[in-house]
Amino acid sequence: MQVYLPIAEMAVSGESILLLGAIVGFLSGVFGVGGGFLTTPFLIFMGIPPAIAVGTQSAQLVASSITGVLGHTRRGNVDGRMAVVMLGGGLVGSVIGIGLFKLLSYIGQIDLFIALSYVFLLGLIGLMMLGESIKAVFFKRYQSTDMEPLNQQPFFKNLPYKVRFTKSRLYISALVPAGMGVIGGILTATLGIGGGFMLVPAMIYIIGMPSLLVPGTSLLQIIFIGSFACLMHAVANQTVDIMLALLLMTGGVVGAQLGVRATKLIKGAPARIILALLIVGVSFRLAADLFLPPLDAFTTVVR
Amino acid sequence: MRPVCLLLAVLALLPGAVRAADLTTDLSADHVDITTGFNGTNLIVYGVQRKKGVIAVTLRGPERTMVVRRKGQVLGAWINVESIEFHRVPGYYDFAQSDTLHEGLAGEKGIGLSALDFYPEERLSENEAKRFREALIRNKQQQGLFPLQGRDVSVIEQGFFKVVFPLPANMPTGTYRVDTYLIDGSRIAAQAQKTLQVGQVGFSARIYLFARDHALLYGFMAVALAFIAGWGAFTFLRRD
Repeated sequence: MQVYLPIAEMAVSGESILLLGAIVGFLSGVFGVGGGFLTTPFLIFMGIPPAIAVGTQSAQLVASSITGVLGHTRRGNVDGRMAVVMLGGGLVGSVIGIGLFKLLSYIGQIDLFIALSYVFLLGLIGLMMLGESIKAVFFKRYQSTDMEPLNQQPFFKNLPYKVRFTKSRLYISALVPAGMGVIGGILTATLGIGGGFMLVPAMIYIIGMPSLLVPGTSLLQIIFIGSFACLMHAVANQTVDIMLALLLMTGGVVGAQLGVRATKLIKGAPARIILALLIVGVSFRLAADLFLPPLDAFTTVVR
Repeated sequence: MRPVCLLLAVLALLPGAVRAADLTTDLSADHVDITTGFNGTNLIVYGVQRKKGVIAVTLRGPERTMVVRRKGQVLGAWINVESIEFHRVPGYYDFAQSDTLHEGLAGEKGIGLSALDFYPEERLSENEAKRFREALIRNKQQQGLFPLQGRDVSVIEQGFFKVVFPLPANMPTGTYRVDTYLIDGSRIAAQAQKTLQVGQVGFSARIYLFARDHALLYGFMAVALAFIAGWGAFTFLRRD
């Protein structure tokens, strides 16, 4: 069934979008990942303009973060004060990101920026995950080594604006979580991803938060950053297609439900290998587009 | 009233007015409605010619400024290295002709792809301009917005012809112009013009207009939708 997207001003196959939403929802149900890092590249593969893919993805990001946060809040695993401080940085980051996005679109390098960022981020995360899960499968006794959080390093200790985070039992400079928020905000506004896969390890290893509190806290601030980025994209670039978002979310709700049921049948580490291979695959595909000679060296777009 | 009628009768008998009636055209519809389920349509141009001659029809969409970018290899990666802006490029173009035309005439009236005029923003060498122009046409053809070759003019009966233009789902919205020419040798014997409105209607149009006119409110709606979907997914999941 063809569906006309009113903002993208093009017709797409409704089933493919629903299926994409369902697959990403399934992954988030099984692994608890946001899945934005897969939606944006696949939308672009399907011929949706990158700007519309990123703008619309920010709405989808809000939906999946809310689902996640509601679960964590019920178990009380959220540090509200930490989320607010990160959010402050995140808002600054989103404004920078939207500006960067507009500038890059104008000079014609936004596709390159998105492709390079995804090749780098997905490649890095995918390979790290692959290594980790292969070790976990083949060397049963392997346990990840505990790292000393960097917040005890002199550089981090000497930063000003110290704040007490009661819930996380930390007394650190607010600049550290705020700085991370800035990076997360830039990622959300330019790539349409929450950046959870970068923020989560950073919150554990740099800030030194208890890992139980990390996912909920990270998701809580992503809800607001995603909402803010969605508003900005709608106002500044007019690139949020509500019809596309609706299709993605509908698929996502169904997929997430299937994913949660499937977790009973799926074994952790082997499943993570599959996810890692998928991520590395997407990264390679994007890299191939970048490094193989294009069919036509010329492209034409409406200014 | 009577003098006016007389004047009209005299005007109708004048050669110019008679020549206009040598060619009459009409469209199968004067508007294309893009709805949520829109998947392209056909536009049919009907016409009657009362004189012998070649029939040529052009269909032009609203003009846009287009950027053509060229990729080059930088550090192994293919990235955009050069770009040219062309002004007044028809967002959609198609044409039909019943026979080959006098070349000068085709160029003057923009009949056929090689006759299309684009206006590059800066001065270019002839060679450069040609490469970018060809790329623009090739890209538009690939998007299905320019034809690979002209359509046929089918003759239904002596002097009664029709042209079928298939319109794709991704056609740009706006005002289209359909120009029909009756050509006698190297001279235009008669011409007729019709316009076609292409726009989103119904639900689709309401979303488009709302997003444009009330961008902030639209953004809030998108966010609200996301909240509902996220909350909905959570409540569904909790049942398990």
